[in-house]
Amino acid sequence: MYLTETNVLETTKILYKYKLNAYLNALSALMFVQILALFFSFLGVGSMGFGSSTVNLQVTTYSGSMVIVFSLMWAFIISITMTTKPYRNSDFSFVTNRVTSHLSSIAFLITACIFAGVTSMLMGLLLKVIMYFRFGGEIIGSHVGVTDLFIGISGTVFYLILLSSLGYFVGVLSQLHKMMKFILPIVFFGLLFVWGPNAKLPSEIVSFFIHESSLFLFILKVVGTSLLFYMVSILISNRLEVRQ
Amino acid sequence: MNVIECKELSKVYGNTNAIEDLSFTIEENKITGLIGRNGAGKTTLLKILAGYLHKSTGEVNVLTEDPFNSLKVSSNMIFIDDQMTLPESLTLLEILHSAKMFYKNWDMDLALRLFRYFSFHDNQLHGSLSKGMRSTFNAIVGLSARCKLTILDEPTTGMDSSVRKDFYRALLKEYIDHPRTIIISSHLLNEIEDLLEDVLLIKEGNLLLHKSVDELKEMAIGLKGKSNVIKEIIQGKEVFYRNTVGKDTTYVAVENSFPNELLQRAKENGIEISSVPTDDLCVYLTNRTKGGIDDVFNRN
Repeated sequence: MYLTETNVLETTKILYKYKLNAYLNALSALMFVQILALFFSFLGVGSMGFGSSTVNLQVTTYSGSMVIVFSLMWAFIISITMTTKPYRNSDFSFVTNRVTSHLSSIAFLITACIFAGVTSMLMGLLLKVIMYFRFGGEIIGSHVGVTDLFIGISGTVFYLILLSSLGYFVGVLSQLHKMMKFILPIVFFGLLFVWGPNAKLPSEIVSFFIHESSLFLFILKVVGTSLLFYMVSILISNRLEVRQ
Repeated sequence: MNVIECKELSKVYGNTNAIEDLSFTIEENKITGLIGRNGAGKTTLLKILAGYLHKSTGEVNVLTEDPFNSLKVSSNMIFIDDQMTLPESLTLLEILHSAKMFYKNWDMDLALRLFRYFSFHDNQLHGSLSKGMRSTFNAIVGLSARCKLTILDEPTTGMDSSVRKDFYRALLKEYIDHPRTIIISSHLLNEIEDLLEDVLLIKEGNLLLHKSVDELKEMAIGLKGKSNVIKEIIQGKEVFYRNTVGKDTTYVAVENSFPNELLQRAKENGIEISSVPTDDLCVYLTNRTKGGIDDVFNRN
């Protein structure tokens, strides 16, 4: 047989297509998680009430944020899953090297995050519609413009990508050595104890992203951080053996 | 052109040597059998060649490149064994179509004809196949990929004998139509002997011999007769196997380097001369002791 030629880009594209086909069930898991979150949202995310002898007021807040939180957890876990042995090995059943295997996984995860971002925003709208039919009445200020929707979706998508890159990094770390599966949780919970409830560093890290009011800067921060996580993941696992 | 070149290749796991100082080359378009006992290092060697594992020391070149992380090697090589991981969500037919995307020489027509011949169904899942069926399916992928280097690691695990025969025949026909370099590992030589040109025999991670099957057939000779006569004849020769039959009869497999007249004389002295089947020879060579399992029970 004759020798065939290929390159990183071409192989990554084929692997990406292959993963879209093969790991479609990740998206069905997402739909399940989001519908579950939607049901939880019916209970309301917060409530308060006060009353006097004549008036009794009960305020229950309903929000689609539950769907987003669940989707964030999904993004984190699905990214860890992508780094596990069966997924890595299945790339190596066909044509790949470590770089193309990572690049295609990351491309797949980002695609999944975009999908999840769009659907979780739409779920939020669905919740509004359901609430309307459940309670009836008049809806005040519920108009969602295209710009709002777009900002909502992009914000969600980038949060998802951030969590996904973190999950990917954690997943790759735990693949480096068998002991990592024990060490990582110990380090994580250990740090929680060391820092205590009023520690500054974790809250500063969170507010670095959460309290960014400019969408552009927020996206910049997320892209930078995710790139870092993804790149370090590729670098530290480039000597990792498969099918041991 | 040499498709595979290894020089003093070693692989260490913890503190055991899986393979040690292997040096050999495999030329283009040859079918080579990698023979060795369980744990001899066959799979480790093949996985290094496939770029799955990295070598500890030494040099390894596949298609003139270090196979670890080489896209060129990966796209021109296919590694088939019964533990091939394939996505659980894809049907067998979808897997064939996925494989087609990856391998430019892929022959879908052949794949489908073999697929139907071995009576697979389009919608079956890889995970639900029996051991033998899975091996058969993997073998179909291996043959249809038409890769320059095809590595088959014990491809017939779990196959029944008629499927095995069909598979070997298919392999041979494919090879004749589209010559390529093929390595088949097995612990049984007799089944694949007719298929092979070369044999690479390894024992405990070391290379015992790398010869053509014809040379292997001529390598040893079996002598059976009175123990004291045998003892005299084989002096100074390398003995591969020795077995005492009955009270005073010995069978030995020794290196075949006797002059004809000596053999003639031995025959007259009542020594039976026979050829040594290659698979027996391989067993003798890879045995840890000269008398095989009998030595365990021989306490004197």
